[in-house]
Amino acid sequence: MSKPGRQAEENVGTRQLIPIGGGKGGVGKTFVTANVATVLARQGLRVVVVDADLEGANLHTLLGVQDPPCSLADFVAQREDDLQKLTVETQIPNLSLIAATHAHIATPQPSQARRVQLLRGLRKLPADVVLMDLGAGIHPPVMDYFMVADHGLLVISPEPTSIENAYSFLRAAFYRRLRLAMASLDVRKLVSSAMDQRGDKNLQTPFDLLREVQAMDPESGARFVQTVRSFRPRLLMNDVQTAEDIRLGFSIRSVCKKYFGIDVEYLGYVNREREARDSVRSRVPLVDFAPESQGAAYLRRVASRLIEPEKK
Amino acid sequence: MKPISEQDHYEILETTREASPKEIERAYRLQKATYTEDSLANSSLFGDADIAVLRERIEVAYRVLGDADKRQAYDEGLEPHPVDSAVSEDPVRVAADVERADSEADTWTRSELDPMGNESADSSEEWVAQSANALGAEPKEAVASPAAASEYEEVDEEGGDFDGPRLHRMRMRRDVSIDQISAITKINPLYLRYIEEERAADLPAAVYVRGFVRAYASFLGLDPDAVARSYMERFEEARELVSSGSGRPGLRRRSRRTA
Repeated sequence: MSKPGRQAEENVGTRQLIPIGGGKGGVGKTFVTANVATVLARQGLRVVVVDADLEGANLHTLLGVQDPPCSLADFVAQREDDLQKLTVETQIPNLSLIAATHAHIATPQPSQARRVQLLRGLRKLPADVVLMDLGAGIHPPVMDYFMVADHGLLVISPEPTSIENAYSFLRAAFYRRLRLAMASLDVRKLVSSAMDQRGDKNLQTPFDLLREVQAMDPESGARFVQTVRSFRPRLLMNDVQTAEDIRLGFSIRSVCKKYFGIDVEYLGYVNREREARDSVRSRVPLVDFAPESQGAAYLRRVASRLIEPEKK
Repeated sequence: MKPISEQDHYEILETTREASPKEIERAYRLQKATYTEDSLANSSLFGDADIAVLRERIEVAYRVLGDADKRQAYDEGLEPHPVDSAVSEDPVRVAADVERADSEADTWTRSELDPMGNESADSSEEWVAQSANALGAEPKEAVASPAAASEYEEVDEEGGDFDGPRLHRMRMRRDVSIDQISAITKINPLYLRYIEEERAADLPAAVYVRGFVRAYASFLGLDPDAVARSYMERFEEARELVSSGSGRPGLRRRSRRTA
């Protein structure tokens, strides 16, 4: 097997761009991103992690990078257009970071045009894998980043607040994808109507919308179905403590299928354990801090499944 | 991709037609646990009425698929999975592909999921239990006894088209009222009655009628594809006659029946 890093050098451009979101803050998105990236880098893959949380940057901290000299904020402020110049090395070989420190307090988020440039730029980075650690919420930049891939990763903790936010997140991603995919202006308006949860009572669920779209334009209906089929986010349950917590992932997958009609792949879980907390305090990823711990093993498993070839 | 009201029993339980009895049982347990009133997983998306419908569908599905004889009779009425037809205007035809991913959990083995590589487990259920034990937790069994078998499913011994009168007879044999179907499927009872009475001129657009017929068939434990295809063929013909002014507003002049 050839070394992936070498392949990246030969074929400039990112092979996999994977957004990691979840809707709610504090569920472990950054923890998962740092650890999965470390696992992949230790395997010889050339990995770039991007902290896209300009309003709550801390990926650099979990990777032991103190006060990065440059960051995504420089790109947002148009002080630098070349994303590769914004990467900083970490202590882990093959793992580079684009931090999100020093963002403009008043206008931390990039414009839509700049977001498009950002995603294009990330695609051109000489890397095997680029992981984007997204911020909380469902505001447009977060959703744009999540939609850059069909198979983004959702990190959820087994709490009602996390699950509720995750569904809001999925709902936003689902309808935004649909709206973008629809060619007809009238159908787009219909999708926009469906995004208003207190709007048209006949458009309360995705299946209601599908029925209306099919009635309006069969071709758009077919496109609708194709778009839904291609949207297959992955799911990780973090901070699990019981069997019910683990089983919750299967249940969420079922709910997503029955409500949205989408297939969510349950990648696995990471358990709550003292070593995880200690690793954060030590600013060393768990997989390096306590490689023999259960959490580290589970994270390695998730990492390997995350970069499996896309399923057709 | 198809709404719950149109899904067959396997789709409701999110398992495959090739599933073993053990897999059916496991799928049922997961579904039952997922759609309890206090389940964390179904909060904020489904309303209480939706959950009630789902629970009913899950129980009916399990009563059939959990019984070897009833399952066999049910399977005989099912159409083969359609070939991939993502561009079809009929969304139900793409369900098979979407469905495949659902059995993934059952194929996860402990050797894949347990970092220690123990290969003794062969299902997500056992994976959950063993993983939880490894975490020091006591797994809680969310398994309920299967509901008593009912007379709900029976072999349809009639042949030929699925026309309104036949649907009516099948419903009556199951001792199901129009209102019961309406309560679960949320279809206007008037339309359900018109379907049985074959009042094409009084029914809405074909795309809606197809959905209604599928839901009706699913509720009765019939193959929604076969029923919809048969019924809609007649329906479309009747609609053409009505629109051309050359026919009566019914399907091939069938007699009217009431619930």
